[in-house]
Amino acid sequence: MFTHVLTPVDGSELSMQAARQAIELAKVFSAKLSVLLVSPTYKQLTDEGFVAPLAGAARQRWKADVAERAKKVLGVIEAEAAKAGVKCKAVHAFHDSPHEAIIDTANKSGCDVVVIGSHGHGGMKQFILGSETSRVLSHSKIPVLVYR
Amino acid sequence: MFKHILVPLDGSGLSLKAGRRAIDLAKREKSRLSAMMACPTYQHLADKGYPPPVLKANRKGWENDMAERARGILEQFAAEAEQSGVTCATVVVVDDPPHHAIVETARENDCDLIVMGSHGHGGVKQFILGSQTSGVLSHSKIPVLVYR
Repeated sequence: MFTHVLTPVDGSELSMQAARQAIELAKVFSAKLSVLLVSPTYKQLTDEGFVAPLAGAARQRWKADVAERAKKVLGVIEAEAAKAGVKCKAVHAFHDSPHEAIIDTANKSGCDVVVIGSHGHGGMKQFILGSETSRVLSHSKIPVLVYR
Repeated sequence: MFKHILVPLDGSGLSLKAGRRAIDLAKREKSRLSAMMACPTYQHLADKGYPPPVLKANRKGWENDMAERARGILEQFAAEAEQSGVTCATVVVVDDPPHHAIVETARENDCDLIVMGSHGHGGVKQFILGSQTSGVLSHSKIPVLVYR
């Protein structure tokens, strides 16, 4: 029924919980797992006024920092998948629109289900569906399993 | 992983497709299945301007007709599930709004997964998440698997 599970994480507790359920689902179905972390590009952050534009060298350092942090988060899920005996591939992408990166990755990797938390870092705890989760639900052609 | 799956149907093709995937999942997981139909009350539809307001005496009859039609769809679905060797209970609820009835039914029956289509009869085919699915996603405490 499911052969390749995609689970996007952003490091938030709920996204990690959803990823753990994804590991379990992959195990039950003897499916492969891809875990994806999407970071916004530097340009988007400066456009939105979060950081001051920096020189090229500093930008590279920022990129390396972000990649380092992503690796840590992805590593947690990779380790847990390995422990559960689930084949897992970690993917880190820079993209300004996380849901597009999620859908692209699902298409390219031939995933047949997305397992995602109802909201990530950005969402209000209750009653509200996170913006990226909502966009994934609207644009995905494959089924989406939402945890909260 | 899932012990009791709730499938809300509305008679639309997509809801039945999601329902059939739920049968596959229940079969594999050896879980119980409950199929439900949430019928809006007459008052709810009248408030939204769908049917012309009629005499109070007619409302009960109208709601009974709705419930009758719902039972027909559910029994047909349950028969399909039984054919696959999956036990399927059926529940008809007349209450407003449907997404509230779905979340409540899941809670009352201790379901641990809701499987539904991204939109039912009411939705625009693409890019839009149906209002009832959206409502369930916002209020459900248990995971929701959305098919489209």
